[in-house]
Amino acid sequence: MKRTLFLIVIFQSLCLGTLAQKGLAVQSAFDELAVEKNATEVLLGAGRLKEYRLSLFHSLEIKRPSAGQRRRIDALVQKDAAQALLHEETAGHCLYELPQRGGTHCYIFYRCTEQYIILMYIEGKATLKQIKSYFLKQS
Amino acid sequence: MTQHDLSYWEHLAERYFQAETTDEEESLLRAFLCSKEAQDPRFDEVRATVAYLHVSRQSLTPHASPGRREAGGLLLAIAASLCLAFFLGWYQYRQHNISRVRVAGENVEADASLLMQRQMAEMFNPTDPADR
Repeated sequence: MKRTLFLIVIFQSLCLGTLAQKGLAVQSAFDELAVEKNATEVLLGAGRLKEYRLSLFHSLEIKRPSAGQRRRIDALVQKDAAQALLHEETAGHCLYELPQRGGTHCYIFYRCTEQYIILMYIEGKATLKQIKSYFLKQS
Repeated sequence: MTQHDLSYWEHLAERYFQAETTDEEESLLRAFLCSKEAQDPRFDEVRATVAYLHVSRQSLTPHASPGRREAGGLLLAIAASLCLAFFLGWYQYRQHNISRVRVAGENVEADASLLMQRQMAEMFNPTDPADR
């Protein structure tokens, strides 16, 4: 019995480890709002992100968000932002670097306008500077 | 069944105790001991012995010995571990290469990498005025 329980615990921890943003407040945003009719969710694994030195990209884009959606996401992001190591809040976007998980950088990127909301949870070896430089170059 | 028959069974019972009976004779003896004619006290001893052995065999046969049980458990554990390892390997591989776009909670055919690039570009180089 003990052995079975031990195996179950190991199995669950391995599975949960892959659900990266587990334990963060923004997880609720992905869970609750991804099913809304104006929501688009994008999920990419490490195999598709090698060139960016990232291991996970999970985003939620909401077009023409309602006031309620905006308020909900904003509150969840602010909750995680409270534990961020680094904040970068400009007029255009908010970038938060969260404490590392197993030597991996974790970021929340957030942008909210009248037209859309984009919420991203990103993990990888790349630093914030590297990510920014890469995507600034892309544009 | 005649008295002679009973003598025959008595003799067979004696041979049974001497371990001189064949498998066929033992089957016949077992069948006889269940019959009405065998309810004679002379056959009590052999009936008790045969019944005891029969019940013992039945209760012991289906259960494996502790050694076999342990080996079975070990094999089961190895099989379960292999299944678990295979599943985790498959799951990790799937997560590693995942590329998924969902609109309103439904999976759609779309280039997730392209969408990511667009969203990242929008994040860092907004085309719309920010509202925050």
